Amino acid sequence: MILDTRYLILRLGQAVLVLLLAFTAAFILLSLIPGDGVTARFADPALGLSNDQIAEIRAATAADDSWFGKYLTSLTGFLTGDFGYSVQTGAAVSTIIAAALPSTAVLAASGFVTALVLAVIIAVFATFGPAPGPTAKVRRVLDSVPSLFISIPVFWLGILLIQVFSFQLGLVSVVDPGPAEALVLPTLTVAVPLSAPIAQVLIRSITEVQASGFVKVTTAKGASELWILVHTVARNAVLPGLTIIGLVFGELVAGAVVTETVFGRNGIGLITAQAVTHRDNPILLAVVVIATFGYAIINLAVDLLYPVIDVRLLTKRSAASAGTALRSHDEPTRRAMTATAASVGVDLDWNDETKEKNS
Amino acid sequence: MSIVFTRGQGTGTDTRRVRGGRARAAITPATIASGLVLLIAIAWALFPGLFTHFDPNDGGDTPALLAPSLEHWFGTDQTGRDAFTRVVYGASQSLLAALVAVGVGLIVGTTIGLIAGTRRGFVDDVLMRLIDVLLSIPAILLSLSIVVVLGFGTINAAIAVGVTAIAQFARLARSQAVQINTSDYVAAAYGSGGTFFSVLVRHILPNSISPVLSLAVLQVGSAILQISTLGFLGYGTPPPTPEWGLIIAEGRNFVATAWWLTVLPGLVVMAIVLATHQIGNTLRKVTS
Amino acid sequence: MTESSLLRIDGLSVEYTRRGGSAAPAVSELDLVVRPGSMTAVVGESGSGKSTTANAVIGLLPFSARVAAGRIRLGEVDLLSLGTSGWRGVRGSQIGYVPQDPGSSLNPLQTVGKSVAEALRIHRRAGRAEARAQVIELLDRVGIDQPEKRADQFPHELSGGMRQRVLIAAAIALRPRLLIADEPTSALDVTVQKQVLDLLDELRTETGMGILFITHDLAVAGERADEVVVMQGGRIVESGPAGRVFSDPATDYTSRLIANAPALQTKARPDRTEATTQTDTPFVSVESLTHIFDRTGDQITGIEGVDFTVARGTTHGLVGESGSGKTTTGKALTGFLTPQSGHVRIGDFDAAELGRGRPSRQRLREFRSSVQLVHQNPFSALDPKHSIRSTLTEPLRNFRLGDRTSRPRLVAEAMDRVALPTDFLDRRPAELSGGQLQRVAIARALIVEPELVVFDEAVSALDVSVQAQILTLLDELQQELGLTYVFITHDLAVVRQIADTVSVMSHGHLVDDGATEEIFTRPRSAYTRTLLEAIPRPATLSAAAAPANDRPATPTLLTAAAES
Repeated sequence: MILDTRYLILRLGQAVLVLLLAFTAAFILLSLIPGDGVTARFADPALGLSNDQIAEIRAATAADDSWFGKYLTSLTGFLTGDFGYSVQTGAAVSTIIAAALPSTAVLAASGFVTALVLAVIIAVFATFGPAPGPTAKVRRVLDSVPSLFISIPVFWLGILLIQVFSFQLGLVSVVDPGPAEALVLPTLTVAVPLSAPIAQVLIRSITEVQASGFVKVTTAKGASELWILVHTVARNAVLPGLTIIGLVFGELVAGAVVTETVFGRNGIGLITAQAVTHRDNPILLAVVVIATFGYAIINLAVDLLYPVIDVRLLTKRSAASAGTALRSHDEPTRRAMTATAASVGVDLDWNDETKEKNS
Repeated sequence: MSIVFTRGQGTGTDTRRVRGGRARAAITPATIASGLVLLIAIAWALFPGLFTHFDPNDGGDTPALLAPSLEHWFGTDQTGRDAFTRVVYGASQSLLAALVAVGVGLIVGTTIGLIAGTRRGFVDDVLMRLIDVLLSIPAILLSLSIVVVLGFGTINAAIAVGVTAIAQFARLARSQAVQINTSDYVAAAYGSGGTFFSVLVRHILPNSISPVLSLAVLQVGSAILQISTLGFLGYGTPPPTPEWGLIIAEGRNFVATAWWLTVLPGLVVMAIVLATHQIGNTLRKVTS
Repeated sequence: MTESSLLRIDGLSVEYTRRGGSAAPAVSELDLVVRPGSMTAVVGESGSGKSTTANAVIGLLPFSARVAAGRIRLGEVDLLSLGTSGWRGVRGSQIGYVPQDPGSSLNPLQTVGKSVAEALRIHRRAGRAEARAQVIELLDRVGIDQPEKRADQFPHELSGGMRQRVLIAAAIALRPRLLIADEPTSALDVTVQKQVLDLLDELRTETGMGILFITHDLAVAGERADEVVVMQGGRIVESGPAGRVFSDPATDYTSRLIANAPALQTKARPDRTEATTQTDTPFVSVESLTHIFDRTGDQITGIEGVDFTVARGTTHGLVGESGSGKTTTGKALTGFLTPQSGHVRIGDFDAAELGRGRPSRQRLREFRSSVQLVHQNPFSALDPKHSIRSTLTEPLRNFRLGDRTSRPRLVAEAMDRVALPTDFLDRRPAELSGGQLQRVAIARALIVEPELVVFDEAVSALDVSVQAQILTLLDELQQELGLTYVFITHDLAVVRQIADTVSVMSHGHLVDDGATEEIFTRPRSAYTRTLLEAIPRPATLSAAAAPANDRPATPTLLTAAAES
């Protein structure tokens, strides 16, 4: 099972291109359009800087270069880990971010894992068991849980959790918590809305696999429902789940920004919020680029992992006739559609018609 | 000699019955309740004065931080303003912003998607790479960056949120266009002498638009959430104008003493978002 | 009698409950017997309840279905009284199941060896190593070459016929007494169908298992089954020994089905081949047409070096199995595909040149109005959002035919020509049946007064009786308007009924070409002969038709589903 090197290089090149374009867009948005940040900040007479000093700062920050010069300076800076200086404090952006990153990484990781566990639990219980009978009600309820979870404003959820667990029940202290205790509520705040799109996609793909011909054949061989879930459904249902994991990264970032603000946790999210308030564009630019980099890496990993799990993509023989070639070309689109659907929190089968045609 | 039956042929009346039945099956009590919730929200936005007689921005001499009562359904805030009144008056800001956001995403995204899906080739590749770029920047960071450039305010926040929605509309519109572009009836339309433009307008657009419109309805819900998030962070409407995110942000300082200032407005937002999802989902089921 | 029955269904009724409470019976009062070593075929069209019957026997009815009455006994076991674990003991070990669509019935992420071993593992009959040996033996048994290698391949690496063999191997792994085969060959080409049916025959004589065979194809049932049960609307219309049902159908329904088979209808028109072959310049002339999508070894996807001619005013049939390249040829004929090389001369146009260089708009427009295409699936060939009137007016406007005042008349004439009432004009496609839609599609093609009409499987999606009507209509229109037809199909019967000349295609090459009767009576290529021989024919009938021995076979339909 050796991956096609051509595919690897193509996919890698694509990721680099997207990253470069994203950097360019962010640079135009945050560095070029706002204009001369140095003048805006340091020419204030109240600061009492002399013209020479201002000129010195201008030279140091390359403020007088042409836009392309600035772009190149900034790009090489990013490639070497030099993200410039904060307009607000004057500290190096890289230092600020390095200080804040670990705490956010911990929150993101724990939030993501919790969301994954939640999603799998919801999805399995929403699809398992015979349709009629006592489990049907449970399934119906669980089936609508993702819809509910995605409608919750994240910031409100954070406040609500503090309200209930700290003030009403007194279970978790928010005043001076230990490191683990401090992580519990923020993790939940991140995880609950994040679990919704994952659960949505899992429910949908499990249902789809359960309705497929090969599950019927396996049932006809005498397999129990649990056997089928473990041996047949799980692996097939994981494929779309993998794609959504790549795509919820954006939600994870949003969750971190809001959660850190609500809980006052020092991290990338809080820095970002403060940077926006103070229009500290260099910090914002660095955060955007780093987050986009994270997104690109995760999706690259997902795309490279995909053919390993889905053996059909390894051989090209499936594209034997013109018709199937067209269909397999549209497969990424189809995956993206499912993810899009899930990200707005509802079970959408955009592919209704095609499915009917194929059946 | 052989006799072959064919499958899957409904007569005309059958098909009609199925369609009507599907529409009826989709309208559940939950859908009706959602419709009511949305109607109320729209009425709040248009005629807030009908629902409350308090002033949203001036508490007068009402005591601060009153618990919910028949007089003050959601209690009063730190300056004695009626919280329910502020939520009612906030509807216009939040709903208008959501509509602007979805409008931006719908118009720009659908145009890009239709062009990419029908022209294919080079144009398709370039447009889709641009959409990839839009998708690769986490939505909240993209909207924050745009807000920083445009300045704070409800409409600017709405535009920022709308830009993040472009990618989804473009992807959906493209996949619809691709699917319809390869359908037999489009081939037949070209065979009937149609030009690219006439086929686009007469066949591709009408047939691809309904899923896009259901996505638009669904997006209203997430736009409300995203805009209230920006409002909560303080980048939306400046106080004292009521906006849902801002209302909750203000109530946050009194979590310990006045739970109603955050919990109740939050529930309202959640109910409205849930309702738009339900309606959007129903629309999709009926039109597909 | 009772002792000899393996499966016995008495008075079975199955109902579907819909939301709203009304129960629609899918099967009512069904009686059926399968004896050891014999095959009972259940024949019927969609909605006749035949698949519901199969699902009831293996206990896999959808949740909305309910057995309202009746008994199903497998030997001494009352299947309907089984609980969940009871069913698990019966499925796989007592009853094997072969599904309809080999494409979607194998777990795509599992090697076929594992799929075959599944039953052994589920019922704990074999360990890992032991199972492997049995799997290879089973694959070998169902006629798969290199079983060791195949066992480690994934479903997408196998052909449709091979997958169906794998599914059969999986179903017989535990040597069940009864095999349920639900349309096992409908998705396969006719030559592959024959191989699979032969395999099932061998297995049942060898092991003595009974087969419950579900099919929509009366010919297959008649050829292979010992007993036939014809179903319509959930009820048995007729049942009995296969020979009797075919030679002496007791009900109108069955005899009408047999009568509607295109192959039984004699050619209703004079043979015009002689008259036309004399003309020196044919109207359509395809010369070394080549368009290759993909090439693996000596197999190609696409077409290579296709030559044939069609005289003006005649019908040319283009026959082939899936993947033969006939659709690609059709696309090149109608100018929807620019071939890599070769010529497609139609009158004074060369369709192959249209896409090369830049033909003037005017030229393309003229070509489009003189060559029209009718698609396979009438349900997808008409824009669902447009009324029939708007669909028919569109080409008139595009080609600037007629004017505001004369167009309604032209549209009405077109409707009249295809024998549709004019009050259909304001309906939308969803309100019409398949046959009516295909008439509209034909009307749309003819309204621009073309000279050549290409039909891409234009009747294969239709019911047999509707098919016959459309073919008659096309024949009348041809004589009335002097049209030239190219008829692309997998269906030899249709070709024989309508075509003057025929080309047979296989794997992108043209293997046989000539006048229709000649191809059918004296096929030149081995492939055409295989094709003709693979056609199922009820044993009784071929025996009855034995005097006509100079003809190799009674041509019939290849399976309709092969193309969908």
